[in-house]
Amino acid sequence: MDTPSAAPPEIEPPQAAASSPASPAPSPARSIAPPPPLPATLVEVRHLHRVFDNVHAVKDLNFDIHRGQVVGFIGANGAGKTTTMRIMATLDSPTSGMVKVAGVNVMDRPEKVRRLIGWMPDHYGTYSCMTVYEYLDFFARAYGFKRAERRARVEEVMDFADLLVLADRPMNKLSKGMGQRLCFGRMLLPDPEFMILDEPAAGLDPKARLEFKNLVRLLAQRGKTLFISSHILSELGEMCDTLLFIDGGKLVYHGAAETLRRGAGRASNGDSQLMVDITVLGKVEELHLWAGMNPGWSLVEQRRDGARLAVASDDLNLLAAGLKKMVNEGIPVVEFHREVRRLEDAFVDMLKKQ
Amino acid sequence: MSSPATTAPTHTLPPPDFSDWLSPILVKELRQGLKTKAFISIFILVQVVMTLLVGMQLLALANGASRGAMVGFDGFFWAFVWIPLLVLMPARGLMAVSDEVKANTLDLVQLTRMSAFRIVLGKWVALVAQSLLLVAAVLPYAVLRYFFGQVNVVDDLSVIAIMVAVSFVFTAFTVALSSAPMVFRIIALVLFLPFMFSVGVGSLFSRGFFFFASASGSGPPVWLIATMVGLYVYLLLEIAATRIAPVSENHSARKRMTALGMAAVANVLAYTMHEDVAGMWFLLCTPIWGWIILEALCEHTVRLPSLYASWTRRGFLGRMAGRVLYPGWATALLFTGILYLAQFNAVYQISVTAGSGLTDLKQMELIVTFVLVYASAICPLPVLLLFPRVRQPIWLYVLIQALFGLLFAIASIVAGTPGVTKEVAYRWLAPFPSSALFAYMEGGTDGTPLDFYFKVTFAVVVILVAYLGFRMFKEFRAISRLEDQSKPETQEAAAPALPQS
Repeated sequence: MDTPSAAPPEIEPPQAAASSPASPAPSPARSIAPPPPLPATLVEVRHLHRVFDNVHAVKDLNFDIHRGQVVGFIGANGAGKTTTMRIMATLDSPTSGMVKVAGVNVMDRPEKVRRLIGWMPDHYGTYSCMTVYEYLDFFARAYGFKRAERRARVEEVMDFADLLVLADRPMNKLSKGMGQRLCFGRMLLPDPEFMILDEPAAGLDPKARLEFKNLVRLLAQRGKTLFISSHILSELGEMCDTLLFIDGGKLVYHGAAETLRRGAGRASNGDSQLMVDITVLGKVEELHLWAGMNPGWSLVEQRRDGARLAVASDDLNLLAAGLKKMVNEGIPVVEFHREVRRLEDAFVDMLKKQ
Repeated sequence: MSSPATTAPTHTLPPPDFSDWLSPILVKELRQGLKTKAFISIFILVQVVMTLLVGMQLLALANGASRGAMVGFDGFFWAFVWIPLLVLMPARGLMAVSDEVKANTLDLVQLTRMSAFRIVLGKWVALVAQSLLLVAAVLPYAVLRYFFGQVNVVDDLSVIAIMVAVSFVFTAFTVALSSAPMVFRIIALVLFLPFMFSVGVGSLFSRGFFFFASASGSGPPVWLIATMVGLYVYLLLEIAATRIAPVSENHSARKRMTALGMAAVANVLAYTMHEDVAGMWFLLCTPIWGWIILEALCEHTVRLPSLYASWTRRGFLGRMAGRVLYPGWATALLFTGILYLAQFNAVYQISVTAGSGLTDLKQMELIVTFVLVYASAICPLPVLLLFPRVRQPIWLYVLIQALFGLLFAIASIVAGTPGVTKEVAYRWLAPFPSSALFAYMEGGTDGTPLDFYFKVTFAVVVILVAYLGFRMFKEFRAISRLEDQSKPETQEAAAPALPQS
């Protein structure tokens, strides 16, 4: 398992990052030297602690987020996700430690950090007597957009988040999914480089979840950096390049979803292994014996019509060779299934090991 | 889900409404406020009642009723002006900030480029704009009363002007209150509501008092009232902004500069104007000074180097000014001292002008009073420093002062018993500066400031100032380090440059 302090694999910073859907057209090329490449690390979190009265909500968090990454931040309710995100969004102060966004300390120069970030809270508040368009227009004004530019910006964002049909709808009459889209659209208004989304898919129906995933994919394609929290692992596993697990305020995992699935399937000595589920036609005892006699294979669980076996390698060629040998030696295999562990299981296993 | 690159928008957006030069928060508040049931109901109610009242009044006059018989109508007319202006509209400010906090929307607004002060200012302007709309709706009825109702329109307009000014301050007060915790809001409201009503009723009976008094030169000039309304509104909005602002915004400096500026004006007035005007200025400034000193003494030093950068950039003078204007109790000690010195000079000059010279005894009493006032202000600080993690140090400060007040109250009761003189009863208050000040103001030392009583008090004051001075210089060393860290070269070494977007 990756250690919490281990840095994630280096990724290339986005070369000629495409402008966001709502960003203005790039200015014509000028005959000046190109700007120096941006540093790969966009966010640094170091020794972050947050104590509320007697509750130590965040304990010594350390991690980096690289430009262009979609990072999932996972933990149970009360694990410290929202507290960490609020500190990153300059909305709360750490008890100790430091968070830097693009090299700027969030405590020291929050106004500079705020120009770089977009924040989508878990519960967005509604205003009474205000339409969807008025809401976005207000925030566009607050972000400093003027006249035609503001109108164009609001229109683009509404189009991107599929809000145009709701323009005249009172915002406190929106469904949960519509409201989340509105909040998402508001976050996009200033075209932030780094977006922090706290439980964005919570309470959404399957259709709205799918729409949300599409929005995240579109932004990721455009080189934006997203930091998304959830306590539902499966939905983040599909969207994110990197996952951060937090439990009791501590970081317990930092790495790719695939690494976690494989990592959590390691044997007790730490070696890689694959799990296979085999069903046979009779001769169950022979299968169990075969597993005991063949090096690299071991019986994990006996079943009435087969067994669950472990292969002491993650090399699929070895697995194929083993299966061929099993069939050649007369084991009547009628069904074979290589287990792909669910992230939830992997997470629970990891917590048990902790 | 449509992508903008492939699908052109097919829906038309509403036409533009408010101009760009208006503050975003003002636009938002007006869009919401003008549509709320509260505003629409008040507006319609005022219109209906005014139509009925003025109509009935005019009918009665047409039927030969005398002007003297119209007093009842006048009472209703004014009641339906001052209740909305001084009670209902300001009351809407009570939820201005708290609603945003409760609905989780304030965070989102603060993440834009708007400062905390712009947010509360926008909310206040929107509320007073709605109040002014109500006034504009009432004006035609005032003119009708002038043409057909035999009333003095100048008198009426002056009363409305006063009500508008008071409404500005009340609205700022409720906006400030809306940023406070619920308990504080309830307490303040219970105390303030009777005041709101009494001012409303009072303005009815004093009809144009300020206007005519100013015109005749016997009351406070209009510029003084207008300036005071502006200062009170500003301070109240600053209080609200301070509560919602991130620690990286230095609101202390603004408030302290305002207080020092007001003290400077007090001195200028004391030297150049009639003592009544200077005295009135001083009197009206006192609550503002009191609140700013209270907040300043209860502040913690902010450990963010960026907060010191703007002052450090100005070199030695900037750093020196910072010793008075940075947030924190240590700088507040110096600030309070300087402010009291300025106030002392103003009072001294006013006294000289008024009394054509001061006796030595009077001068000594003035000095003693100001020393005691300074000592009283700073005496809770050692206790506050013992509890640096207290969330609301202002409450602790007030509690300590209340205990001093209680000591004085007990001494007063003892002094009231037969056979006990004030001198004896108040003697044991000497070690407690605030209690000693109360006793001195009440005349417990027979006007002899340098007797045993004050020797003890002054010894305590010297010890207090020495201890706090020692702690202050330690704090200043920490501030110096923060100033050094705030220098641009230090910042650049610590953090890479921002990316070009």
